[in-house]
Amino acid sequence: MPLNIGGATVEGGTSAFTIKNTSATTVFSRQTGTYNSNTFAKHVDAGRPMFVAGSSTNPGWVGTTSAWLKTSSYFNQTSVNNGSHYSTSNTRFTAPVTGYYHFFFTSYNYTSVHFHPMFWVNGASTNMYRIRGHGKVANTAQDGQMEEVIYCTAGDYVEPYMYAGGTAYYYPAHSLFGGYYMG
Amino acid sequence: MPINVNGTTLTGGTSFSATDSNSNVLYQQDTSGMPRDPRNSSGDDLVPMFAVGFNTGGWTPIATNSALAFAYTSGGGYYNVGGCYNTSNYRFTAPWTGMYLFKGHMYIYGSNSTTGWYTHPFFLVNGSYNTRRPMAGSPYRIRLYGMAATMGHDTDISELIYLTAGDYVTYGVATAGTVQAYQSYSCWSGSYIGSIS
Repeated sequence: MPLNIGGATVEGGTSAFTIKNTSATTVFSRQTGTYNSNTFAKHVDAGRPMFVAGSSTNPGWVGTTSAWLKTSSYFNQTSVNNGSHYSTSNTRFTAPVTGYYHFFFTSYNYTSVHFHPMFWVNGASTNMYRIRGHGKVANTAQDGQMEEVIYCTAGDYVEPYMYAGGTAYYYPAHSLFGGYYMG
Repeated sequence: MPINVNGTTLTGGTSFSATDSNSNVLYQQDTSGMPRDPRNSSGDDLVPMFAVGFNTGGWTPIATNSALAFAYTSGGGYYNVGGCYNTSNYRFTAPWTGMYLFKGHMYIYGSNSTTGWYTHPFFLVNGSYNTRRPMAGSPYRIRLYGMAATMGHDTDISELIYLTAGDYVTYGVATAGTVQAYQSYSCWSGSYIGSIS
């Protein structure tokens, strides 16, 4: 028999430890099950922030010269956006709780000199410089793949940017931004 | 005293654990507060994850391929929970709908005399470049292009992909020119992050 604690229930079973809220919705579960005859664990954290965002349209190459460009500006759709903490309107992720978050970004670029992909926090550079394209034949394609674990305070917002040394171009339809709450 | 809830035993004290009727530890926070992933009665991890090497040899050409033959299982870092990665068809298959993190790495160089050769490293989902991706195109990456002849590079990439149970993921490249990878310096891996329902 489940334990009832103020209307929420703690449930067991042959292979599950589950907490449901007063609406009988699973908010937390650790369980095992089989797939292809093998046993695997499954984690359910109903409110865990996670998202992956990209562009629903293809604006082609977008350029900037000796300036920062917010590369998520075109990311207006998501494959997952639990809790809607990524906004498809202002194209930023806002941390709902303080903790560690893991972000990744990938982009398709070319540049006359070099470019710096970076995650900005609260609209400001973090000085976490990366550099791509430097020393290569000018205007040959390069990608802006990066990832970073950032300790965010609740309310902090994160956006991917790039700085163009010289002129750099970016192809939003070949680019993605994603992240999740680690804990 | 432990509480039995429909076969799942909740044990308290200075730590907390939930253990099912098959002695799988479904959840545990130890006495230091450290959370532990689910594991079976033998202590083996049950969270879907894998890490596999390419091979034992040195340089080998990597042609355009939807699933590079990563099947080196003898390294100390080889990991393959529940056989979620198939070393015959080089596929990881997601047992659950949820978020997964993938990382791919090869050490490469273009054995060319021009600057025009390149490699696109990618993860394919169900054999497709853009399945499960929220984008008009596909996550295009490119390495080596525009570099001096015979210079080395890497194909290090990572991606969070929200998969549906049964989806499979492979790691591959598309190349222009003869690009070589150093097999014993190359590997790829993946891990289940979690589900929301």
